[in-house]
Amino acid sequence: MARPVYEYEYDGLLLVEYEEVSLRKPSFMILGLPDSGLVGVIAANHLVETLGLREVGGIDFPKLLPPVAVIHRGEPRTPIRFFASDNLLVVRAETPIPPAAIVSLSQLLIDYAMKRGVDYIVSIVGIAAPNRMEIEKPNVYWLASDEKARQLAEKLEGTKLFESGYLVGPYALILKYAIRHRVSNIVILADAYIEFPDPEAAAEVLKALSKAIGVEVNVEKLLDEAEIIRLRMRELMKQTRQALQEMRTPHPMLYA
Amino acid sequence: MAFYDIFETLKRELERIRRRIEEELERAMFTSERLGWSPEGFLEPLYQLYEYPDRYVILVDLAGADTATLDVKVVGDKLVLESRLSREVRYSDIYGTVAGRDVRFHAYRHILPLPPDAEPRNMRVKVHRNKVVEIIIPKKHVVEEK
Repeated sequence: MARPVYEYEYDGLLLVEYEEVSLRKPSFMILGLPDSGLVGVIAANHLVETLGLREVGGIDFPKLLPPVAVIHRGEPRTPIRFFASDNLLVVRAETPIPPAAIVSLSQLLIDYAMKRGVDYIVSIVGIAAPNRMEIEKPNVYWLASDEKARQLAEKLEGTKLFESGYLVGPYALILKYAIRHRVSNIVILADAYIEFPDPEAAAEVLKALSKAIGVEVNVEKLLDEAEIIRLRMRELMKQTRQALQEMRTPHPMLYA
Repeated sequence: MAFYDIFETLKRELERIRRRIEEELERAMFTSERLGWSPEGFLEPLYQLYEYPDRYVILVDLAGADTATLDVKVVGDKLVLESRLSREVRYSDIYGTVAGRDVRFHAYRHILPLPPDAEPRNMRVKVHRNKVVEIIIPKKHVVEEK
């Protein structure tokens, strides 16, 4: 395993960098964390593959995850991996985020974004659309934490403000912390299957995002390979459904 | 006497909780054995069962399937779903590992227990675009009222 050049421990979470990360401005931290339809994870995966991003670091939860190491190209990797190049830092999770880690993880990500001078944190979210089967082209919506983020969000082609609804999980906390710490966070939401991986929703998000971040992203391949991506994402989707269930249903003992 | 009753109730309640925990643990241990695939080349699809006042709806993700070969039938109190894949898929293509390279999948196959009040005789199967399959099974009492 690449030996970290930088390590930072925060509330049981360990952030590592394998090389010093410095991004061209304006810089974007793109978050691909698992939720409905795994839209963020699939979009982040596609960015990493098509833009050939380098793995530069990651976050481990030594105390909160089962003792498992993901091996890639013969080396153990962290459950949350950082990939970067030019003005992009893509954060991609390999496992669902343990509910007990969400608060610390959200704080750590905001903190890291501030340390590395990230201009915008971009959260990619799937919104559970009950009629997704009937929707040919998923709608894309946005939320912005401040005026700077709002200006960027308004450049997202073919999107609308997400006027009402709710966010569940790490993206919800990241938005709240971003507002508190005055970090620009745009949340891009796409209609997605609640229960199945949704590469089409990810493609719509990337189409909208591509212009705003000034990076050409070809989604043809993503759509062509949609079915095999859905097959590959089965396990993560199953685990994510369980984790989301835990987050949505407060433990009855809390109210006893 | 009243005191004694309270203790009895508490004791019974604790016993009930203890049994429940044991059952849940057993079930968790049992389900953790599920792999989602079989070495004979079958994949278990992702699916979700929803309950409405008058019907059950099962959504199934058949990514990669040749849905023209889809077969959904009821055997006893179980639903059996089968569909061939459009092309063979290797274990390593899905799980991204060099292990299990000899395992190849050629079909989806899943057997799921039906809820006791399901009336599968009036079942409907819709194949949506994207190969998401919707299986609608009315509930018994609604059918009888008609």
